[in-house]
Amino acid sequence: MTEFDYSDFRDSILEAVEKQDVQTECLGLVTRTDRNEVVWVHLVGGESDTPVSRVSMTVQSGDLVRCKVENGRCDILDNLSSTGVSLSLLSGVVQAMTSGDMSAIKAITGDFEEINALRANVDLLLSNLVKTGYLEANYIDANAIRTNYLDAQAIQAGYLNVDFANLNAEQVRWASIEDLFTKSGIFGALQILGDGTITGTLNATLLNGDTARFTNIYADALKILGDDGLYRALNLRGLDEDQAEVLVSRYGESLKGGLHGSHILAESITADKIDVTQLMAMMLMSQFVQIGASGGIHIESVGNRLSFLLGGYSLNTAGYIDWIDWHQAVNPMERGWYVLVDEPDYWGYVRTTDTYVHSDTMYYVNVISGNLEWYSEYTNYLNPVEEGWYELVGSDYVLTEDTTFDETKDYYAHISRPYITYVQVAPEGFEDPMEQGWYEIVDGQYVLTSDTVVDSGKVYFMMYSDLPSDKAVDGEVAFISVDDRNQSVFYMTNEIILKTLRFGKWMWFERSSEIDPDNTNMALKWVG
Amino acid sequence: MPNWAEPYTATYFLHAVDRDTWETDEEIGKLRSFSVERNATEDVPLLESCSGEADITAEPDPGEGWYRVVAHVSQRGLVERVPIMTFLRQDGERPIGRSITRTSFTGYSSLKPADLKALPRGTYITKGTNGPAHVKRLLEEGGVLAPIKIVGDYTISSYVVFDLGSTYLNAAWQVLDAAGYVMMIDPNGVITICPKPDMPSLILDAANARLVRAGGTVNVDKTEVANVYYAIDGDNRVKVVNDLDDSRTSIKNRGLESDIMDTSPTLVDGESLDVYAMRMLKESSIVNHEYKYVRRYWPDVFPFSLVQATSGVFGITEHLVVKQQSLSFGKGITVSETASYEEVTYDPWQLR
Repeated sequence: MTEFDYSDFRDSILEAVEKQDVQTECLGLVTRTDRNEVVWVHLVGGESDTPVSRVSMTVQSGDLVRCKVENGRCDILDNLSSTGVSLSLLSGVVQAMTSGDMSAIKAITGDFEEINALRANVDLLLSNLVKTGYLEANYIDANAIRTNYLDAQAIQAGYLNVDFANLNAEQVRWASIEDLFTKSGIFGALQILGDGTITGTLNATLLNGDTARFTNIYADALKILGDDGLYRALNLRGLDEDQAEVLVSRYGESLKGGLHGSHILAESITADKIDVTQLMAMMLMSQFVQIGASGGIHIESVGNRLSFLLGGYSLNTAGYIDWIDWHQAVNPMERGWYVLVDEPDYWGYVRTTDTYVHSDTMYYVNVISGNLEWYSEYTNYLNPVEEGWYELVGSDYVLTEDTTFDETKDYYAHISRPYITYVQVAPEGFEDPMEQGWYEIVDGQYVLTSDTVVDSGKVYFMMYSDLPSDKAVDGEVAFISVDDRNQSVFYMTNEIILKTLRFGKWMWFERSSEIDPDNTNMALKWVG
Repeated sequence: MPNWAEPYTATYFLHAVDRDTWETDEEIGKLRSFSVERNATEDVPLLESCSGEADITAEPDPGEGWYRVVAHVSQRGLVERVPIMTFLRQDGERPIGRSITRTSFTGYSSLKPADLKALPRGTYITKGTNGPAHVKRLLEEGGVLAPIKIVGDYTISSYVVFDLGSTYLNAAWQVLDAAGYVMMIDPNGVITICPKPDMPSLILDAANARLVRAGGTVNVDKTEVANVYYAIDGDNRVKVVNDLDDSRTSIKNRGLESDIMDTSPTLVDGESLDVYAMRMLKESSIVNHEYKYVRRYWPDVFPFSLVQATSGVFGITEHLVVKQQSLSFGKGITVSETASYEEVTYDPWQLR
């Protein structure tokens, strides 16, 4: 076998791995050569084989090669394999390459896949797995040892986990067991009697069992879990001797009730009669409350009316009490100005402390003498703004008769009490209201025509955002356009001015024949 | 369809697109501003993109997805709905409000899904495969939802291995470029795979002169033009020289030699290395005449389309190939367009 330089091979692999990051180069494994003599490679990270366009060296199936993919071709640049390389060494690289694990390639090329030797002297062997038939060692330091059989003269353990069910009791020294439990503190003064009973004191944080039989139970606090999931507890909160406490709750939940020496805590108490000296309640719901033996305050609700009577009550001839209507007795709303508030978590009228209307606030309600008077705007004490579609006419919003949105119109507001729910504002650049084109006067109005050349029988008004490229027109024409200096310019073929023509502060005019019959020429006058 | 040569006004609305049928769905808002960029260069494989600002009226706003801008074109009292562009919407900033939501957005062409999906390494196309059909398959596997049409066909003459790190879209363009085919996207987002057009979509003659604003420019750049081409394939080496008397880019007429070294020739349709080198020198001797101008909107004119220039408007009579378009939308639609024609200064197959 030719002596093979592993360091060169490793360097080649590493270089190829580094170039893996280059856009056009990558590693590949030659998979086959088809009957058309086309070599196929499996590129690292690829899903299938790729045909090679050009091979300038000898390659065979299983070879590790460096490839370049460019301009629609895949070419082999280097054959990283050598006949001197054992297949087992290549296998690790190939396997890692197939899975696309580039870090594994680097690791394998740094260490050898396999070493066959009769004898090896190694000062330090670092290995993930050692398999051997016989291991002889003076000292073994391990985190864990698992064995089917351990033959030891002595075992010293800080922690020993023993399956006592399989413990061979005949070999057990019970005195040692007693010593074990006592020293561990599990039992105090433990003694195992011949009949199997155990004496002593059992110290435990938790005892689990189905049945316990005691002569006496001494406890600072006792908690009993019932089948209904409720806990009944005695003295859970460690009260004084002269106070008894029974508490009821579910585990983890707040207290639901209890019996306390000083207080009774309960969600509800059902009783025919409760005799108390002082009754404190957040809310008292009652069909009938009478304070005092024969009067005092009498409060009763019938239906949705609440009535009360001060200073006693009287019976009508039928034996019933006269009722006072709540609504007649009390004004339900405070007087004042209310403003409509529209917030994500609240919508409604909120009373303000204002005593007069502020110009920057839109009030809606003023409560006067128990009645409601509605206002829309401070400047217009009229009915609220009518709902509907508004369009801007001049500077005013004018209500249209449209009931649905007409997309051919430029609406600006839709009022749907109490908001303006839709506002359409002309977007930037969408401001020119007039179509470009030629307009003629028809019935006193400018109407867009389809004319592209001037009809000599018409008078036109031409509207364009910029002057068309063909400026030559025939016939009579008048139009306003924007010139190269972005200035508005009025073009007119012929112009007849009957009276005066003004340029800034100067004015041309025809001299009056009444002033000088012989001089009706045109004059220029400063008019300021 | 409106007569785009005559006056009109337009407003623009945003509609959702049904992903399954690709039909225009419900209106979700109105545009406040909008612009479209279209490009035929290899740096822009998506071909077109857009940006704008819209008032979203749909509750809730559907958000990212496929949308279509539809213009309501008003002309002589009639209103017609004209699709403008279909795109994948990505939102930008938006103000916090209640009933009206104004949002800015960017839109990508219907090719975008294929631009996001990476092609497995080593993917190739085999010799004899139908090129356009394979491109369609690539786009569909790449996640393109828009309908794809094919006009014409050609077969691949040898294996083509796609570049490492390619996306499905890169691969599609690689297959098309090898045969001089292109993709074009219409306003509905429908993709057409076809040869480069050879008939004009717009003729700028005297009748249409008013479509073009005055003030366009032309640029002729000969910097990249070559007159010597070397093709090297392994041990084979071919050199082709432009020494024609009637070629204004030949060494003699130009007064200098400009070489190209090609070490990775890609032969097509069984051509020899000699023919390949001559073909490449012909392509490298092309002088590009680039025209930039502003015109009114005209439908069905996209990147790769031909615009017929006439002597009356451009001073030349040539088919200009549209390279780049910027569309701006106001009361009307304006197109700033860059189009060019190529002057072949070396053609070894031309009879003399």
